[in-house]
Amino acid sequence: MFETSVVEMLTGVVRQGWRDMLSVYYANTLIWKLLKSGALAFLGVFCWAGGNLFRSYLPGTTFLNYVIAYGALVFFYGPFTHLVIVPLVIRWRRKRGFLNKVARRLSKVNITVFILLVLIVGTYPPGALLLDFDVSSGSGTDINPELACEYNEKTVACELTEAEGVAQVVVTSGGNELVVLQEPPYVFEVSRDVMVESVGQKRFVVELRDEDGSMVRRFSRAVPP
Amino acid sequence: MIFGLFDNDYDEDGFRTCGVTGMEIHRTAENHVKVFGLTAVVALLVGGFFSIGVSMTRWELVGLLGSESFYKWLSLHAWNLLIFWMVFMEIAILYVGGPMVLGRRLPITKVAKLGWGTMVTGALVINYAIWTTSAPDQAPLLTSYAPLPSSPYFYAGAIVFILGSVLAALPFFVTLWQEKKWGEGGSLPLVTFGAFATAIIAVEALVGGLIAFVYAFLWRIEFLGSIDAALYRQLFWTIGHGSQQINLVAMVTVWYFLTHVVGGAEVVSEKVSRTAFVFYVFFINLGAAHHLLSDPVVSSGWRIWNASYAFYGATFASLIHAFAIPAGIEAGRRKRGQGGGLFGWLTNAPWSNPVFSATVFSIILFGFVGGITGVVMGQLQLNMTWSRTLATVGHFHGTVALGTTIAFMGLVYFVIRTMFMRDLAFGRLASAQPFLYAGTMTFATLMLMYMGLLYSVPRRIHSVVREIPGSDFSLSAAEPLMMIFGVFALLAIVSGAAFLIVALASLLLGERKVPGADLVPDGGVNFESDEPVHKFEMRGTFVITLIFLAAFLAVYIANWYFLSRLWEIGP
Repeated sequence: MFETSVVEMLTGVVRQGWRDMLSVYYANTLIWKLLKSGALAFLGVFCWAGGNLFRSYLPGTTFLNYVIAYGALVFFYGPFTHLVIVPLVIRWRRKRGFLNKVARRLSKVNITVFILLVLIVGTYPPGALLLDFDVSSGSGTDINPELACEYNEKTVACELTEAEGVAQVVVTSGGNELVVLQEPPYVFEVSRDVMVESVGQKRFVVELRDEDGSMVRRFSRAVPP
Repeated sequence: MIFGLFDNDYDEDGFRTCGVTGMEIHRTAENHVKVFGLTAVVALLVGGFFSIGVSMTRWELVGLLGSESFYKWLSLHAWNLLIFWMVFMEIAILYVGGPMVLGRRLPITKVAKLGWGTMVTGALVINYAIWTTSAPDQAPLLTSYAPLPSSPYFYAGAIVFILGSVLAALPFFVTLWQEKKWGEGGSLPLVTFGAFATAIIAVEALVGGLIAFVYAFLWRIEFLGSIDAALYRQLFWTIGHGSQQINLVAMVTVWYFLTHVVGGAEVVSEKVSRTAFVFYVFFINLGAAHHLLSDPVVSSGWRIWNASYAFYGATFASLIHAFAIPAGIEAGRRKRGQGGGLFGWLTNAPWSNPVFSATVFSIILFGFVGGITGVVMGQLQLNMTWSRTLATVGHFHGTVALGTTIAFMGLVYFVIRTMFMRDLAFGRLASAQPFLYAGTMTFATLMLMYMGLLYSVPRRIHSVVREIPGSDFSLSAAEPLMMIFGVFALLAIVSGAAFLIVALASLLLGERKVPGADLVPDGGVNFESDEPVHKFEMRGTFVITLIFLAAFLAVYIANWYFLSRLWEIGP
């Protein structure tokens, strides 16, 4: 008795769930169409980007290709289905003859085509769907200079070492240009008097530029009193 | 023309009855709501303008600004949108939730005016200080982290603005005091209660901010010889994140108000909703601690208590509201005979009314985008993969740009119709605008998150994806996502501009029209049934919350999985 009622309840829930899903699928007012399209586009991005994110940790997991394919396809196919296919099905079902016959099968054909597309795209994923995670393939070269300074009573003396790739050194304080060095050795000495004080401390900035004039490093130093 | 915006028909005591809400509204309250609301819209215009430079620089294909200009524009974008647009609106909300809902005149109006003037002065000084920043000062962005100095005018402006906000909030507190002293007794209405919670949280945040900026100002003008940078960071975040918690609680209050007025929602359980507001008062400001989760000076115990225990008190409150408000819409609409099937109550709602659509998009997107990510990244452990990346920027665009801003856009439309009594200009565009903004800003926000999570693309830097100068390390793989971001950011700016065009055109050119049936929930004010609201089905809301739970679990589990893969043990 108890088991029967539980089974009945469960089948009732499943039946009601199926009916609710169908009614949502075929809902055809403007707002329903927009909400369904928006939700599926959102889900599509979620699956596409999420699938790629998992793929970066689990490279070679084939299943993820299908998640990515599903996400990318549903982003376009979801709105297409609910803005074009479902309204057509509803309109054509009111007609007689050939269009009515097409309408009765169009939703099944549509979902079948979608699943087939997911299987094909998931099996042979185009490069555009798969994000690249090779983050260390820059064309530039590493520049790792070091700036060492000595603070004397009246001056500050600095030397830049490990300066490969540096073409220009510009020393400023409070926006005023103090020294410009165009070639090594990058050694300079600046008087404390010409440095601008800010919140009780004199500061200077050493900006390193490459051959194109692009900034590659910037050191900001406070001068001890 | 401008002064004509303040003309409504009041009786000899200065009151009128609102045809939409039925509230007795006094001229003083209404005019001050209008003034603060209009000022907020101007701040949105300014901040929105600066978003063009910010997004079109981060979209490195365009690369509009150099590094120095970018940081200025970013600072102006942040202050105008995160602070001025929000706080001016929130003062307006206090005046709606207080004197308007309680049917009282706004007390101490001179203080309200002084508060407005002081806030405007502070906002202007801050904008000027940031725009004219020059070495050795740095543009402050939002944080103005010491010991990097910003213009002394900036700190002074911040102090003036905060003082103005406190002054402007005083008439609200006096209204509540008057209500309790001379009113009819009983509980405050829920909207007033929410506004009261907002005001308490605001005072905590503002006082903390006042201490932080006075401290920094005294250091900047060299009255103090040094500043404790760690102490400043703690003090700053009482207002830095506290101001965003004011946004949250004000936004939830607006949700209750607008879903009821234009959507036909009923509060299913006042006790439960009030309890959630009380939870906010106790716990929400502790959420600020997540900004210091990577800060070496605070102990692990401090971090875990604030961000992994106490903060769940606030999360619990948000989950209550997340159920209570949609459930209120569902039960209320079913009670009005407007709820067929599982989601009929939602889809037959007045979606062409931008007040309603903006409010519902705000609820959905705040929950799914801003809320889930806030809880995830607010955790001690998971914060490590989010902190300092564009994912963080994505999170707060989910809360502020999608949640609060869309809700406030809805509120502005409501004020234009019910208080300025202007027909919304460009009717179809007005109806479509919340859809356009919600859609485009959602995708821009998601791209920010994915760029942060997938590639750890850093925030606050004007150019990093195409090339990192002087480094072989490259983030160029993130370029496809950056391209999608750039397009949607541009579309979101256009959609935001559409809001400003509709709002300003309605005010300046719109036909005067007394609001009525176009705003009242369909089915009117009469219910089809006398049954109490909680007797009605809420299974649609239940399904939505199950979907929300599934999304929450998916994001939560995935983030823990990714974190666990960072330090693999064994061969």
